[in-house]
Amino acid sequence: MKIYSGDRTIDGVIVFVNQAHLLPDTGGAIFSDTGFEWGYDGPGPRQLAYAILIDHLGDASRAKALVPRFVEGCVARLDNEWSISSADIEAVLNSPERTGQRA
Amino acid sequence: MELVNTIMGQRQRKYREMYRERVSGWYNGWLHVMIIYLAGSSALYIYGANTVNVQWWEWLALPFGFISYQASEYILHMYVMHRPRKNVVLRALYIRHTLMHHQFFTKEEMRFADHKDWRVTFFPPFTMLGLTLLSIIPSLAAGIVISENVGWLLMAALTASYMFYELIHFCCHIDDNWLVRNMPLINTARRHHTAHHDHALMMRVNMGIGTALPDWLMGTSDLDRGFWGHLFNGYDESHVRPGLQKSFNAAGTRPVPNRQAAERN
Ligand SMILES: [Zn+2]
Ligand SMILES: [Zn+2]
Repeated sequence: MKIYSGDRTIDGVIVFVNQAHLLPDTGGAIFSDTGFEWGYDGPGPRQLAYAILIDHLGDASRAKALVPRFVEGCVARLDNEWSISSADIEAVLNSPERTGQRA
Repeated sequence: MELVNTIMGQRQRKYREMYRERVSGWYNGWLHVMIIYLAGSSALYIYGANTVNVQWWEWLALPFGFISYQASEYILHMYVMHRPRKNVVLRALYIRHTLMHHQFFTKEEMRFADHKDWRVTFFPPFTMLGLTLLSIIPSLAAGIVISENVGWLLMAALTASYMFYELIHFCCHIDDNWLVRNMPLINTARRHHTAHHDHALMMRVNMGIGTALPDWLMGTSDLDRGFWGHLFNGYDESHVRPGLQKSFNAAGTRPVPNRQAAERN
């Protein structure tokens, strides 16, 4: 079981997988070249979703396909500091599709 | 110096300590405010002195300028200050706001400890100059196309709106007192902005600072109220939309899976 965590610091946002840094260009910076962000839907959150899913699934094309669903179900709802487990990721990916939220 | 009676957590306390240590050096909040308001008042005086025999319809430049400023402030806050951008200047605004202002002040502790903390909230003194340069473009166009008075009044409206913004934002980060609790617009802005400083909401909710109306218009408010309710809500929490705070955090809180789908069934 892996633990993914993130925080916003004075020096920038940081994301860890267990104790190691998860790099913003994991799998290539295909959604954003400005690094990770979260708490909304946009390029930074999509890049974070992509990097987490590549690490979790080990399959870049599946990860890319699941990005919108994972952003809506998880990354757009991450707090300022957060941690999620592999089980949380599976729960989000296996939950029925959501309807969009306004804010 | 730090607040004594506070419910701030360890993370925020450490951040504030580190910020003061890292961004130390000579700073005087009173001087900072004086520069902004002296420059602003002088500019307003000059713009006012250049108007001649203003017609009734020319005064409409004032509300138009105020509304344009509110819209620009909302867009800047939502799409620049909370979204990392490649451009160095825009990125600096994101760092200063999301990574500094929002970490220094949280909904648990919104207050300055003393005037040295004002630098985390007021824009740097040169902002007034930048804003003036930016205002010249639409104002000059209005001055040529419509009338000179409209041009000067538009400049005045934009400058005054910035001064209004700084005042309101400052009032959102001071200790509660009878005046700010009972002053219309200011009490509404204080609750609205405190909710924006909720870490679970700050990236998408309550981006209007001067007024809550852009959020009402764009559907990004935490309140389920109409125009007048957004203008004069005050500290009332009874209209807050339910379920907004549900987020994945570091303490193990999880949103209820697919709540909306469950509600439909
Ligand atoms: Zn603030
Ligand atoms: Zn903000």
